[in-house]
This record gives sequence, structure tokens and C-alpha cells, in this order.
Amino acid sequence: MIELQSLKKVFRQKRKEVLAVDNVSFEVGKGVVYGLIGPNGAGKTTLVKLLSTLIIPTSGTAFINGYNILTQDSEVRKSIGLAAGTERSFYYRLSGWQNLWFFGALQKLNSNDLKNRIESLLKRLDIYSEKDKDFMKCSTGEKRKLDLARCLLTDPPVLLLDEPTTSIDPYSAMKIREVIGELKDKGRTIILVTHNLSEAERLCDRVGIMSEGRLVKEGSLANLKTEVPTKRVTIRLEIFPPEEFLQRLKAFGEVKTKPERREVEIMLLDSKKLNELLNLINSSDISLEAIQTRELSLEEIFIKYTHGQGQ
Amino acid sequence: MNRVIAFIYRGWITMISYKTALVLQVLSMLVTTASFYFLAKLVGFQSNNPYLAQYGGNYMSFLIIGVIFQSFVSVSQNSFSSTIRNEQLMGTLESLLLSRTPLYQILIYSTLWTFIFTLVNIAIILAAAILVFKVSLNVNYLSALIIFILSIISLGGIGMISAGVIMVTKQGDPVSWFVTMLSAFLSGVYYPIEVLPKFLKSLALILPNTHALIALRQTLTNHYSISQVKGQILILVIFALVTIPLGIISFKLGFDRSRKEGTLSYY
Repeated sequence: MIELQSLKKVFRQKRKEVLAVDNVSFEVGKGVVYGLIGPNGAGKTTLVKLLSTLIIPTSGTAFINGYNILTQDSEVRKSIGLAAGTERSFYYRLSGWQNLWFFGALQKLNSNDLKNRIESLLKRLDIYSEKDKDFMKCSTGEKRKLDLARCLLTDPPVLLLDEPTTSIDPYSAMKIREVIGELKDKGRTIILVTHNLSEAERLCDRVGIMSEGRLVKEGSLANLKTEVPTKRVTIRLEIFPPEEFLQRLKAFGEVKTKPERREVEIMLLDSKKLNELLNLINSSDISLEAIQTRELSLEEIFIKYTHGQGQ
Repeated sequence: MNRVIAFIYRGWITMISYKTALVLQVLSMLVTTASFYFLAKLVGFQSNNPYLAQYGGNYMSFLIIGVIFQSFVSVSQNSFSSTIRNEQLMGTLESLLLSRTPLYQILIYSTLWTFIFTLVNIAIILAAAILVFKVSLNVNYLSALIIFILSIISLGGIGMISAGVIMVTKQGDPVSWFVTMLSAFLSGVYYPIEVLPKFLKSLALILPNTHALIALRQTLTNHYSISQVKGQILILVIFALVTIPLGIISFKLGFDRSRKEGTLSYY
């Protein structure tokens, strides 16, 4: 449904070349929600604009719903809905309803169909009662919902959602996530740009991590977690261990201590060395009271691959 | 049809939401018309001025027609670029471009409201001129309409060139500035071109605006038929055949350059 082939974008800014998107390739199948995460300035929004034909790539191309973004841009535009996540894309003096009617009319929708579509979308997003409020008076949450409603007017097969829940209240964010979930169930293909990693974990089937224009890692969440050999191991000991023992533990990875709880947390760089770690503890005079291992969260994987960039 | 209505509706809602500006604009029109009246009174309504003889000798009607024409010149030449500029400022340009309506249609529909509003302005000025200041016209409606439409089309080509420029420069459009300024100065809006020195008069005759304005005055005040203004019609058709393709190419180039630079949403 979406296929990127070595997509590259170089901007020229004040005689300097800025590499915004660097040979990015990936595929997203029908009905898949693909999360695009990465620090600010990683190239996520540029990538979305390339896919929506608003920017022309320097090299490479992409296919959306079978259409080439370079040669079939109008067909691509008919296949996508873009929620750009910016408030400055509506007419401030028009109400939410009037805005949706205007943009719907441009989509060549029949008057009655358009009216029904707007009504059902506003009701689904819980903003029907605010339909006559001027856009400029809408809350950020209402504006984001209208942004999502607009991109759903034509019920396109591909949705590009750029940070649809950023800076809004938890209830509005929850409502938007619910609708994204429903769209996924209906088989829509979605690229979801987000900074909210728990949102990505909840909604996305696959995730791509971008850093400095490159796609540094991508795959299903399960694969990402298993591919990263690091595990977080927390051990609680009978007594808090002496410095000499802690030094030996540091050979396995980064160590954090909580002396008051007699706990030591080891970022085990290679999960295959877990047995070796246990042997070391057993061979010492300190008894092990409890052990807990867990895979890294998406947030930790994200930081690992982006080296904490943007923090 | 829905799309035409949508653009007009958007223009209407936006305009009435700025009530004070609307009232001030109508007042400005009336004050301007009154100013013209006193200016005409100074010059003399039925003067023996030889320059005005071919236009019926009435400076008030000469001036009113010039101002009406200049309003449409301004709309034709500037509305495309000002539409692009406004959408850039409001941040709505990208949303418009993502719709299923082709770009050239968006550009044309976006200017509809400005044309309608200008027509209303002109109707008010004309009504005031005829009813209050007793300006008399002798109109050949068919030939006036043809001249009027041809003027809009041929000048619209320049407007599209301007829109292509503004797509890239964001603010500051030398094409529009140059043509609008030349039009006001040389094409005979406020005075007949016969008062100009010889070299400026030659320059004025290169402008399509000059020919359009001469023909419009003759059809509105002297009841000239199509055959009597066929020379001007031919000039306007030739001009349209040159400027419209140039405008389309220029706009497409500006649009693609903006997409290449990733600056569609910049302002």
C-alpha cells in the first residue's frame, strides 16, 4: 500500500545543503499502522510531506496505493488523507462545520453525502455540539479533531497522521486514538508520526525510528525488542553488595544501585550472559532474594538508537 | 458548482466577520466618488476640453469609467497573487493543494469572491455617480461586456505570472507592481493619453490596458458597436493568447520550485 524506495530530500539553505531525509526505504502493507518516531528534526514531517506530494524528493520515489508520487501526484492525493497536526491549516473566521464543508466541497463530494459525512465524523469525535464555534475559538483538542475529521472526509485508503495527539488533553487524545484504532480495524493503512511512545506501542503494528534523516531501525515492536539484545535485570540481594562486587557486575553492563532497597539494576548488554550473571551471584557470599528481567520499552529502544538525540 | 459556491461562501463569511472593515470600505467608496465629483466640478462637467471631446466631454464620466476599469485591472492582476499570499499567511495553501480540485481551478475559484465584491463596489460607485451626481452614460451593453471580459482574461494572464512569482518570493511581486503602476500612470485612468508627451504615449499604446480602457469608454459613453472597437478587441485577444499560456507556465514553474524547496507553507 505504501512503498518508499531510497527516498531522499536535500534542502538548500543559505548555500548549505541540509540532508532532511536520507535514502529511506520501507514498505507498509494494507491495514497496517506504521509508527514513525524520532527526535525533533529527524525528518519525520519532511517524509510525510514527501509522501503527500507537497515536497518533491531530490532522488528516489515512493508509491502510495500503487501510484508514484513523482509522476501520479494527483492520484496520490486522491488516495491519502493528511492530518498535518498544525492549527494553521484552517480558516479561523469560519466555524468547524463551515471549514469541513468548504474542504469537503473541494474534494468534489456530493452535498448530501458531505453533510452526512461531516455530521457522523463530528459525532464520532465528540465535537458535534461545537460545530458552529468559530475555528479560532476552538480548543487545541477540538482543532486536532477537526484536522482528523477533515482528512477522513473522503474516507481515503491511506492516512498520514502527523502528531495527531500532541499538546492536547488526555480525553481528546484518547478519543483520537480510539478513532485511529477503528480505522485500523477497517483496513486503512496509516503512517502515524508521534512522540508519544506509549501511543506507538498501543496503536502501531510496526515502527520506524528516524534519526538525522535516516531510518535507523524499523520493524514490528516484538522484533525490535528481541533484536535489541539488551535486557534490564533488577536483582534484590540479602545485603547491599560491596564495591568490589559492584565492579564485577559492571562488566555485564551499566549498573544503577538503590542501596536502601538493596537493589542493583543491570542493563545487560547481551541477554545471553544472563546465566553468567546468575553464576556470579551464586558463587558469591551474598544471597539472591529476587530477580526480575524485562525487555527494553520502546522508549528505551528509541533512546538507544537515537543516542538520546533531541533530549 | 459546489466548489464555486464554497469559495464564494468562504469569502462572504470571512468578509462579514470583519464588520468594521466592511462599513469603512463602503464609506471609502462613497467619499471617493464624492471627491471625483468635486474634481469634475473644478474641471467642468461639460467642458470644451478637446482632450475629453472624444469621450463625451464629461470629466466625471471619464474619471468614473477609468476608476472602475482600474479596479478590475487591479483585481485581474493582483487577485491571483494575493490569493496565494493570503493562503500562505493563513497556512491553508497546503490543505487546498491536497484536495481533489486541480490547482488552476483553486486559483480561479479563489478570486471569485474578490471579483464579486469588486462588482458590488463598482455598482455602488456607478449608482452614486448616476443618481446623485447625474452622470449620463450611453451604453452598448454587448460590446462593453465583450471588452470587459476580454480585459479580465488578458490581464488575468499577467495575474497568473504574478502568482507564480509570489509562490517563490512570498512577498514582493515586481510583475504586478510594475504593470499596475504603469496601468494607473499611462493607460488613461485619470486623464486621456493624449495629454502625455509623445514618447510616453507610444509606451502607453503598448499596454493592453490602454486599448481596453479606450474601448470601454467608447462603449459606455458613446454607444460604440463591436465593429467600432474591433481593433481593440483584436489587440486584447492577441494579448490574451500570449499572457494566458505564459501565466500557466509561470505559475507551474513557481509551484514546482516551491515544492522542490519545500517552502509551500512558508510565508
